Amino acid sequence: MTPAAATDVLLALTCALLLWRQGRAAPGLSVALSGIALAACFGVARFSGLAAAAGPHQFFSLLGAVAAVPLLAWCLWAPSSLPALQPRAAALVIIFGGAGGVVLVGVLKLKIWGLLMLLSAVLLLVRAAWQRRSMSFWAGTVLLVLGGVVQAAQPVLGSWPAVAWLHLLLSAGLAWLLWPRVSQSGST
Amino acid sequence: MQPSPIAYALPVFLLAIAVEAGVARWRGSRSYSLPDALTSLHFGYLSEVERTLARLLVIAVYAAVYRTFHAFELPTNAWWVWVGTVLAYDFCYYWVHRFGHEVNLIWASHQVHHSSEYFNLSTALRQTGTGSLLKWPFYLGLAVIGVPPTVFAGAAFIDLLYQVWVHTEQIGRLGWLDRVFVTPSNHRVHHGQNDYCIDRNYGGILILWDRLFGTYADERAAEPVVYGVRKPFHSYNPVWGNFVLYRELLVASRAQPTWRDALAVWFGPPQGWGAAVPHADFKDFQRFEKPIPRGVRRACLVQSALLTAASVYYVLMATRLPWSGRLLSGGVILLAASLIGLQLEGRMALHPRHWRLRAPDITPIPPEDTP
Repeated sequence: MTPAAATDVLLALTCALLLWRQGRAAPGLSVALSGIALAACFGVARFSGLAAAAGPHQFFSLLGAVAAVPLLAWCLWAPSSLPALQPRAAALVIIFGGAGGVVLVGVLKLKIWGLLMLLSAVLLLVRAAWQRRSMSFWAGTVLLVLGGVVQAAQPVLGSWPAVAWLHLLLSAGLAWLLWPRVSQSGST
Repeated sequence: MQPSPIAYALPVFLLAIAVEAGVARWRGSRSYSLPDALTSLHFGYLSEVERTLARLLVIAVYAAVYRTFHAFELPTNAWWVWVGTVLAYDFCYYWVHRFGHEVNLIWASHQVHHSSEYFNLSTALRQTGTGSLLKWPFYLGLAVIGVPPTVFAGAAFIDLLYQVWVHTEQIGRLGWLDRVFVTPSNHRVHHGQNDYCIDRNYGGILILWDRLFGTYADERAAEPVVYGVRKPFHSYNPVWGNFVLYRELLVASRAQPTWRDALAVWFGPPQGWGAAVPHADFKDFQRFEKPIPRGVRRACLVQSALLTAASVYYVLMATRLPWSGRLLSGGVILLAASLIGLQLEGRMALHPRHWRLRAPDITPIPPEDTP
């Protein structure tokens, strides 16, 4: 198994574990995590050599970047908002935000839209971390931001490709962000 | 791009409507009203006009997503690809349709189809003229799997065509078919505004999706279905019918204190976030019906026949027209449908003999049952 596939397994398992821990307490976060997990599952197949998984992996990764991650950030910033509490609202963000984003970035090559969405997510996470003043939340936010930087800069770090580091940083970031939060509050 | 196949199927639909109206009259069933049926047809023509303008964009987006992200190169001539695609399309359709009822922005478009208080084959043609741009995101999964655009378009047409025959009161219950497929019985429930009918039976071909996702309701013999919507727009003008709910949403959202509340209006369910569908009593329910003088009725029938011919011709020729030609022709059809609607409502008359019969001083004349 390649490092990219192995780290995508880790990302998928992290999302699955967080989904299981949350149950139905935070529907918005669950929808966002499901989107990221789906992309990770296709990534495992793609990086294990299944050529047919390349397109779906790109599609769902893009969907994750332009809709799922911003939704996750929004739900953490505003846990009592409609997208955080109502599965239908969260699904609408993924369907319309995701489809629109995929077309803008993947088809029309307007990469600025993807960057804007990620920047918005980072700003929301930083604001949420500032409000909560929790070390684990700050650590998770920093790890996710680093993941974004690695994805944008594509640096060569040891023998692993940049995408493997992205998966690793995302897994660690999500775990730091969501695991303590769930165990502390039990719900949003 | 090929012209819409609906244009070729329209003569068959019109014949089927005439036969159904004849059967209904023979059985003494009040399933038809001429103004309502004509309005349904006019809604259908506007819908086709919109498709000639927006369909190109929607199919282009689907094709672009297919080219960029498809997993498999599925053959277009294999039967299993077609069967699989129709099933997958029907699954997506279930969710489009469900969101179409549970999200105001899409309901504003889809309510047109439910606005008739009659239930007959003409209701099947009463389609929205604003829907194309709202539904495409739900079908992108098919492009990612690798369903070629031609097969996708074919499956969409099959799904649409199947749904025509289920809009009738002339076919009763069909036993086990009612529990597997969408049939007239379970689709009557879908068009009802009784408490037990609201947000039920969304399927296109298979009703199994509703049984799977908990939205199935069986038709109740003891509680006759009352067709229509809870907030009727009471008009025969298809242009007004297409935009009336958008206008209401705009007014409601502008009255909200924050932009987040305004968004919640557009993307919320018709009854409001977290609210249950309120109970409604239909003991004194009366269908929307305006008394129309026989002469006006005949005049509208003739104009509607001309509009039918013009719409079919336009849909067949649209692909050869430049955008300016499409917009102009579409605008003329829109205007004509609107003018016929105004005449049916008694708010306008073409012939001086009927000028005195304009709405305020119109003499009530018992409506006829059939066209």
